[in-house]
Amino acid sequence: MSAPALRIEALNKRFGGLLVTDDVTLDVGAQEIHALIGPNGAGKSTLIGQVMGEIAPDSGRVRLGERDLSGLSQAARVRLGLARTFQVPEVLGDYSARDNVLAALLARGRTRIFANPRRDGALAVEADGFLVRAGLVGRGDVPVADLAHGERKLLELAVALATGPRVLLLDEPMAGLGPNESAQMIEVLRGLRGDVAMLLVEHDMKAVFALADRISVLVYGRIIASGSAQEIQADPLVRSAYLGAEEARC
Amino acid sequence: MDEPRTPAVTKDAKPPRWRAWAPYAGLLALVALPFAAQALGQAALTTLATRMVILAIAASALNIALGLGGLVSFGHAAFYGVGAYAVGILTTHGASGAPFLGFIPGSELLGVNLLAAMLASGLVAGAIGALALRTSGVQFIMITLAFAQMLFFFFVALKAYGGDDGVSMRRRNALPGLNMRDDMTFYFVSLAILAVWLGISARLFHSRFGLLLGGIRQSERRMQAIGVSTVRTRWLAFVLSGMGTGLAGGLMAVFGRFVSPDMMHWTQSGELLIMVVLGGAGTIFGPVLGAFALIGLETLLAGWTEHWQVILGPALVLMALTFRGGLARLGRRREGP
Repeated sequence: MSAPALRIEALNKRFGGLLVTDDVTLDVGAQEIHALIGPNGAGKSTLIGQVMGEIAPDSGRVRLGERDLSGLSQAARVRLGLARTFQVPEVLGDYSARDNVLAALLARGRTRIFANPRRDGALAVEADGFLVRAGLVGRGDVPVADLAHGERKLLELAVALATGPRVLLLDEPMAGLGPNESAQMIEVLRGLRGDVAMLLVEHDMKAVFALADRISVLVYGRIIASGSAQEIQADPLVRSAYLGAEEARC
Repeated sequence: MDEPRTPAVTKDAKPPRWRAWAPYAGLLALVALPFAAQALGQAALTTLATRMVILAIAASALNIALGLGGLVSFGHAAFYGVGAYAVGILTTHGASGAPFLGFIPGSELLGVNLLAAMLASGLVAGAIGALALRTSGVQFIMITLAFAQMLFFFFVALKAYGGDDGVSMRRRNALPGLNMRDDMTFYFVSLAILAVWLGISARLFHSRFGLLLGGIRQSERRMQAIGVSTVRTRWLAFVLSGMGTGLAGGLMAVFGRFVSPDMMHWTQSGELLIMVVLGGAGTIFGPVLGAFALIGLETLLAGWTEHWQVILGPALVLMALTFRGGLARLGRRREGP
C-alpha cells in the first residue's frame, strides 16, 4: 500500500471531565475505505470534527498526505482536499439541488466577480456531473425542500465530491435511510472507490461489511481493535463491547 | 391574498404575467410622477417622492445584510447618519475654506461628497462588523443597536458640529451642469442613483458572492464544510450594506441641507428594518416597495390625524400578516433567491 492519504496521530480531546478522543491513531490509505464503527457516544463525530478543523484537539496531529494540518482553518483544509458529509444532512434549503453543488464549485474560486454563475452553462454541466455520480439523475432543478431524506444524503455526497476531495469523511451516510435507499448509497459509494479515500463512520453493519477494506472500532474515545472484517468479527473484545450489545438491542 | 400552501398544485405554476411588467410600470410611474404633481399643483409630492427614493436606497442596502445575508442589523441608522455627517462636515468646510482636521479639504461637489459618505460609512461598518459578527442571533441585534446608540450620543456631544442641533448647509451640493436647487432636478438625480444602485444590487444578488452569502444564511456549517470563509464573506456583505446606507444618508443630507443626530436614532434603524421586511427581504424591489409603502402610509395618516402612530402600528401588523414574505412576493409562488 502506498503512503496513507490521511493520518491521525495520537489525537486527544477532553470535554470537561469526559475524554472523547483517547490517543486515537488511525490512517486511511489512498485507495482505501476505512470504516470506523462504535456505539453511540463513542466520539466518532467529534473525531471527524477534529480532522476537519471544526474542533481543536488538545494534542496530537492530523496529516493529509505529508502535510500537517495543525492550526489550519476548515477552509484551508477543504482546499487541501478534505471533505465531509453530516449525519443530519446540512443542505441549503432555499436552493435547488444544482445550486447546492454550484456553491461548492464556486467556493473553489471559479468565475468572475459579477458574472451570474447560474447562467454559466459549463458550470451547470459540471455540477450535474457530480449529481449523476451521487445517483441524482435529472434532479438538478428540484428545490431541496422537495427532496426526500435519502436524496438529501446523496446531495451531500455530490456537494462533498464537488469540492474535489482526496479524502472524504462520511458521517453515517446510511442514517435514516430505508433498505432501498441504503442499497443505492452503498452502490454509489462503491462507485467512488479508488477515486477518493474514505473514512466511513457508520452504524449499519451491512454497509460496513459491504464497503470497508479495514474496520476500526471506537469505544469511549479509544480504538480497541483494527483490522479486516473477519478479524473484527472474530475479536472477542469487539463482540462484547459492540457487536454483542447491538445484537442484544435488536 | 395568502400564497397557496399546497406545493403539489403550485410547483409548476408560472407567475402571472403582470409580474414581469411591474418593474417597468413602476419606473414609468416614478418618471411621470413629478410632471403629474406639477400639473396637479401638488409640488410637495415631488419632495415626498424624493424622500421615498432616498430611503429606498437605504432599505435596499440594508437588504444585502438582512435579506441575503440573514444579518438582522438593528444599527444601520449609524451608517445612514455617518454618511450624512460626512457630507455635512465636508460641505461646511467646503463653504468656509478651512480643511477638516487641518488636512482634508472640504467640498461642495455632490459626487465627491457622496463618495466620501460611502467611504466613511464603509469604514465604520467595517469596524462595527468586525466586532459584531463574532456574535449571532439576538446578540448580534443588540450589539449593532448598542454601537449605533454610541455613535448617536457621540454626535449629540460633538459641539463642533452642532451637537444636538446638527449641521445646516447653506446650499445643496453641486452637480456640474444641473441646477440642484430645483426640486424636480434633485428628484431625478436621486432616482438615477437609486436605479444605478438597484442595478448593482441585482448583479450582486446573482453573483458568486450573492450565491455564497445566501448559502451562509441557510447553513453556515454547510458553507464552512465546502471551504467558504463564512466570517469574511459576511463581513464584506455588512460593509457593502453599510456603504449603501451611508450613500443614502449623504444624499438625504444634501436634499434637506441638514444633518442631525436624529438620523442615527434607533427608531431610524427600526424604520429601515420595517421597510425591508414589509417590502420583502431578499428580493431586489421589495425594499423599494417597502420604503414607498411605509413613508406613504406615515404621510397619509399624519395628514389625517395627529395620533397617526396609533393607526400605523395595527396597519403594519395587518400588512405583515396579509403579505407573507413581503409586497414584492405578491403573485410569486416560490421564495428565492
